[in-house]
Amino acid sequence: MLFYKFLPLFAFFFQSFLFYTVFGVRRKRAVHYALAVFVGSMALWGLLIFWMRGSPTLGDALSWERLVLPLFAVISYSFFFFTVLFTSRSLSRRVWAGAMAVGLFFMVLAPTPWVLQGMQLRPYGYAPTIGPLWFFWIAGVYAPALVSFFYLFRFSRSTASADMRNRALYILVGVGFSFLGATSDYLAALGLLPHPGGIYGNLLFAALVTVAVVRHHLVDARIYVRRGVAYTLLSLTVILPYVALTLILNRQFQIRLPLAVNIIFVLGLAASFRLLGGYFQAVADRWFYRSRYDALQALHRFSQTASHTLELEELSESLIAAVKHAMAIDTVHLLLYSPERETLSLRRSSVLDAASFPPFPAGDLLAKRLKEWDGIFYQEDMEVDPVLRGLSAASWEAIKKLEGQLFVPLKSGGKLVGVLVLGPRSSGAPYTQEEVGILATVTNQAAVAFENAKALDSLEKEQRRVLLLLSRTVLAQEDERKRISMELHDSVAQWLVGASYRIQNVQKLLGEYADSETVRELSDIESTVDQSLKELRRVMAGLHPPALDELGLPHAVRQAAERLQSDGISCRVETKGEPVRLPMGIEIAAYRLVQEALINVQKHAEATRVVLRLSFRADDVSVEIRDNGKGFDYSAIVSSPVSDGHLGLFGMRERAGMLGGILKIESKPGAGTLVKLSFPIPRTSLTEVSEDLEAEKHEPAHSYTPGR
Amino acid sequence: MSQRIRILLVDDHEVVRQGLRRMLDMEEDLEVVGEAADVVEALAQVQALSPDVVLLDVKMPDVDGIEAIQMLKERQPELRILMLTLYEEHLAQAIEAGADGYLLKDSKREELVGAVRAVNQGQSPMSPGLGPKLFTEFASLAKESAEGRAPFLTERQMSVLVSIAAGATTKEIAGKLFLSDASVKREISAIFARLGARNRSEAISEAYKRNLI
Repeated sequence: MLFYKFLPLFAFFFQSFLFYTVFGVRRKRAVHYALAVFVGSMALWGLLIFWMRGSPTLGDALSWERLVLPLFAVISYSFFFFTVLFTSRSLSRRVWAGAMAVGLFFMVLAPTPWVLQGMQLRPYGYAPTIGPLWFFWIAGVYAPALVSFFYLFRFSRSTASADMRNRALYILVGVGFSFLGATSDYLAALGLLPHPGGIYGNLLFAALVTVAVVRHHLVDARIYVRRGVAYTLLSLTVILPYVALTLILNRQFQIRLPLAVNIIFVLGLAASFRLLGGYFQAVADRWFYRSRYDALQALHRFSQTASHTLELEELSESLIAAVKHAMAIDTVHLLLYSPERETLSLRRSSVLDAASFPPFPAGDLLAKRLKEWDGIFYQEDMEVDPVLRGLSAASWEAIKKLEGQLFVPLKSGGKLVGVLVLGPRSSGAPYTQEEVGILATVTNQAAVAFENAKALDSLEKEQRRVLLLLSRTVLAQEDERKRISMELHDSVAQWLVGASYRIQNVQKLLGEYADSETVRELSDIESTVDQSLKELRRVMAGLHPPALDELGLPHAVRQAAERLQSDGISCRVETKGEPVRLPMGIEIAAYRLVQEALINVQKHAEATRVVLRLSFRADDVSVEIRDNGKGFDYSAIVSSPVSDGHLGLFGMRERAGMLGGILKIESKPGAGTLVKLSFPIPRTSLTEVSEDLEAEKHEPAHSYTPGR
Repeated sequence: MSQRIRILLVDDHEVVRQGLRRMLDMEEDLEVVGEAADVVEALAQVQALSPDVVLLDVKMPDVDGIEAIQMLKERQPELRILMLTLYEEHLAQAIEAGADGYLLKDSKREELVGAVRAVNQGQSPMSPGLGPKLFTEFASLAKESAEGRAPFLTERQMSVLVSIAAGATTKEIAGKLFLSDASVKREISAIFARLGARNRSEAISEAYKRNLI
């Protein structure tokens, strides 16, 4: 008895689950809506039958039954629409509207006395007594269902896709059961059957459609099954207490909840979906996916890292952490493969020190084997692998040290990028097939990210190498200039100073005794020597600005500007931001460019005013040299055959390129000239680059030691 | 009759010393009592002759001119030092180290003689045109010392610096301090930037100079 009463409630939950699943599909098309209406009506049917069967009086039962019968029309016609959409049939608008109208007509007809005359008590419970139009109504409701059966059957025969055929057959059989069940319902009511079977059909349908959804990807709702579970859980927790309360009030106190309370409850239910949905979703996910939930969360985080970074360091760290967490293990190693050296070396590990772990020998068999191996290598397999039998003792030693259980090759486009080595589980449990599957997915993604990161890394190294070589050339040049400058400083300049002193001494000695001609001659010599000294100082400063070594770019630029001042061009220097010291080659190159620009101003511009603006920002430096001179036609100069005067511009471009910077020259005849250089502050100092290069030179030495 | 000002000439260029000696000796109140071609000799001469004024070149072959100022002042605190250079190098540093005047070598006779007298009287003569440079240099020195009040280097940078001074390689430092190679390199770059150094040896000498290690 209890079973008979509560089975419909169970059907309701089952169908609700399906409804949520279908309704959860993100990008719903018409076919989803039709299926949702169909499944939703099936669910409602279950609920209404439950209430009907629990009614205390025949009158109550009748009012529930008046709601149940129109549902049949809705179910039948929505199924028809679903079938049409599912089998991709084209129906004209008129047929659509006609079917809708007919459906609506039978829906409205259902609760009238012509169809449903009243209720009667049968041995099994309440049953409807039929009206005069009952069979007409049944025909109208069954007609679309029969047409749908025909459509589905035809579709299942003609479709080329096995999946589609399976889906169609599942639906066909499921709906067949429901309609048989429904038929048995009224046959029982007519006294022709001892027991109504509608709810069994309903449940069978739900079960078959669930299988179709899960196994045959019906409406691509597989991933939304978890949503269905969540909302079913939510319904259960909200509706069960309500049902219990209704039953207790009903049975114990003979109190029936008024309709208003029921409506408020339904509204409350709707509200609770919004409020509690997220929470139940998480509960359902955890329950549904069990351990996989945490694993997926951890790996999801890695995916996010992988999508936004190309830093090898960060990627390695993130991958190790994610795999460690997801698989609940302590030991994870990441070895990266270097195609140049044909060897694997430990990049990062959760337990070992990557720096002290020697790389595998070049051309090692392990790398070779992994290259041609598809999928995951188990440690047990390695020991009996015929190819790996030839592995050197040193390599075996290294493999032992890694304590790996699983060796997962990282491959991008078929190329070996590295290997992820997973140690044993702390629980001792073996890796499940599912976990291995997840690993494969993640390593695929990781491989691509690492491949990109490695490419960038080597590109950066290459750029730095070029920068270093250029800087070395420039520095060698500058060294030579500095040496010449020092030599001039220590010899000619000092001699000139001494000579100047001597001349002044002679002038003093001669005093008033000298004739005016001697005095004039002497002062001429003196001014010649002075002039020579001045010129020499200028040459020396040009060869190597002492201020650059001592005080950096801003001071050197200021000094260069001051020299311009002595030629009668007013020069203002503005510095913005916090000046930082840059690598020697860079400061020199920037300084030389400024110098070149100032020489151009002096030689060609006929300017009276120059403004020099130096800006230091977090990542770059810019230098602006603006004069009020006569300007020039930049495009004409650039396109004209190279002449001596224009070489300066090309030199400036070259230097700007060396700095990895941009040089902008804006000029128009009569409108002055603006030279603007901006270049990035290198992230690594040149010293570091040379250290890197040194380190690379040494590295192969100890990587060859084992196995050779 | 007042006493003559006793002068010691310190310059590694003989031709300059000779010219200067003649020039200064011509003045009745000035007397060049000795000459030195390097700092070691200068120290000995100061000891032996106890001059009133030293004319000192910033560029010396054996000891850095700035250090020479400090060494000379240590020997004889009341000694007056007039810097005499070809370039306006290390201007603020020289004055901070204790130089009393700063003159360029291409100054005229009257300026030179006047500067020697002035410096002896306790004034601080300076070649015209050096003022602006002095101000900017002092401004940057002041900024550096203001920064010095906040910890100049972080604790981690200090440990890295000490390791560098001990001659450790990047890898060794990384191992010792439990850092990755990359972060050690980052710290080293930061230290270099902070000290204005370009390589490890410059960083170490700069660190010694600033009494960091």
